[in-house]
Amino acid sequence: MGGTSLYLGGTTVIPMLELQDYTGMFERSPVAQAVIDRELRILVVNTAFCSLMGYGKDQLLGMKLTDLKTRGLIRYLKDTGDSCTTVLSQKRDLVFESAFETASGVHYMLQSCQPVLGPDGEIRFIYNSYTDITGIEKNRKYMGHEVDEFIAVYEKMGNGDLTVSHSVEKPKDTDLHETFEILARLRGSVRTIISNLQVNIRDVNKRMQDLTSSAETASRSLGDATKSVQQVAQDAQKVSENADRASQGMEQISKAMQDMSASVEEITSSMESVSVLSRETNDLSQKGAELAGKAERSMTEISASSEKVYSIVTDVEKQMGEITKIVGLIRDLANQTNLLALNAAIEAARAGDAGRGFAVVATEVKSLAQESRNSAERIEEMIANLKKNTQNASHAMGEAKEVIGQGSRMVAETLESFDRIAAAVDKVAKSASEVAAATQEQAATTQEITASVHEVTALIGETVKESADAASATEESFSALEEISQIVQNVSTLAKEALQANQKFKVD
Amino acid sequence: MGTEAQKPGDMLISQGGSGSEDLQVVEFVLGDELFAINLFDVKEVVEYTRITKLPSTPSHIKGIIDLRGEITTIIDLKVRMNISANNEIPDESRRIIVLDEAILNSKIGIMVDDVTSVSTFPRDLVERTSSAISNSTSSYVEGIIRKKIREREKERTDLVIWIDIRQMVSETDLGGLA
Repeated sequence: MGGTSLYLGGTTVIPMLELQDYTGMFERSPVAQAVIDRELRILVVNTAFCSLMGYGKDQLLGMKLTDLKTRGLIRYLKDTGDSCTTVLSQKRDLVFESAFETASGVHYMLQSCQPVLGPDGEIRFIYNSYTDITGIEKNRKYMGHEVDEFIAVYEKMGNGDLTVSHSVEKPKDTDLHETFEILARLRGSVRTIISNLQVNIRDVNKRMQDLTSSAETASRSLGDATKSVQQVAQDAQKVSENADRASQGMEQISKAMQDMSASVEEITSSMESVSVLSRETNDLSQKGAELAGKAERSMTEISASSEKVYSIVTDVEKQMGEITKIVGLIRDLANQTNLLALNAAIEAARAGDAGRGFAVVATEVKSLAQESRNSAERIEEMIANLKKNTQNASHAMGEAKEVIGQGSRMVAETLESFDRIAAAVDKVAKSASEVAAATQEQAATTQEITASVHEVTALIGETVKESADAASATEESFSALEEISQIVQNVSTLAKEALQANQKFKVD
Repeated sequence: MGTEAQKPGDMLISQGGSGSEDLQVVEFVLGDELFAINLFDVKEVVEYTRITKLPSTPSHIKGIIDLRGEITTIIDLKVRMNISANNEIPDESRRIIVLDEAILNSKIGIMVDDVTSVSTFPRDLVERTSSAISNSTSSYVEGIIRKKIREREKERTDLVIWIDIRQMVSETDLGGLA
């Protein structure tokens, strides 16, 4: 072993280094190394190889490399099929990847097998080195996984769903942190772009929606406008009709005004008649009032006269009462005279022939007394009759008094009535003159109205013309509106299409 | 009492002188009828004066009056003769015929409704009462006088009942006054 040169790979010769240097380097190299003979027996291994395999040097030395596999010391996860046997048969270098599980765990390895040839060109040894690429593999797997996810997400995004998000989880394995950082940065960049895009799309969408709704609103407004214009057209028609009717109405009013004018003239003449009549009535009522006044005075005189008559009758009654008394006295006297005559006759008869003359006197006296008594009785009768008459007269006078009172009252009332009639007639006359004045005003007003009616008729004619113009203008604006409507419809359609296109991108 | 010869008619005739056949009477009214008594039985006719009633006397005794200082008994003839009239004349309007004192030697007056006259009738107008009447309770009715009355050129005859006043008074219960 203390040779001057060492062939490594058959190409490199390092003359300055001693064997122990190589041994040390071999031993300390982090790369797991093993040298095997033609029978594949393990001749030399370094520490890294031992730790890789998980067995001690003493266990491994002398063991066939293939025993590791066949004895189940290691389990191959990935076997490319290349092996040291291939190297032996083909006498060339082999580099291949393999993965196996040992006691120390799963390892991804870049295995290189280099035959070491003797001077005869025969293979003396095979140098195996195992470069651990587990970390690289892990990173590769991790990255592959993440990139797959990225691809899935970005495919979705590509399909328009910009709401998809995914997070890159920080792996526990510290070997992957660097990769994670890179991936996170990548994701962040993409996310920024996407979110900007989202904002933009949202904005565009909103604008599109606004546009669409505006277009719809415009469309509706146009519909309304169209309707309105149609309405205007109809209204114009109606205005025209109404104007016609108004025109007719105005003609009627004009006629009515003429009639009214005639009526006013009639009223005026009637009012003049009323005026004349009321003047006559006034004169008559004044005469009536005068007559009633005379009647009142007459009634007062009659009242006074009947009062006098009443008192006279009362006096007569009183005097007749006295007469009755006197007549009573006369009758008493007659009675006494009669008695005296009787007694005288009795005395005369007793006296016989001597009393004969006296008897005659007594008889005469008696007959006189009788006559006096008869007269008194007649007077009494007459007085009784008179009394009855005076009583009747008195009663009649009482009634007359009452009647006269009533008459007086009625005359007073009549007088009052005449006064009222006079006042009423005065009012009537005043009213009539007022009516006459009002009628004159009315006549003036009627003329004014007639003039106004003519003006209005002219105006209506103009209105008719204008409404016809308006109708034609309306038709024009109607067609213009239809065009505008078409344009707005197009805009709306375009906006909707744009929106639909954008709606491929789900942003919310 | 008095004899037949003392009849008033006789006395009148005997004392009358001329027309001895004539009958002189005082006529008076009781109720609705006319009565007559002999003139010579009458002293005078007076107006009603207040009559003082006496207790325990028959109803036909009116009472007593003071006639010029002499108490005179008054007989209500209507009551005495049972005459009921339709019209009651108040006492104040009635009259009293004072009879001659010679008749009964006492002062007597008869109350009648009215005294109408002093009359003289010829005998042929006087009809003596028949015995049938005089024998009855009315024995004092002496006869009936036909009194001819001229009134408005028409002549009618009233019957006047002639009464023997002496006879009647003598038959009258005076309640112990006479």
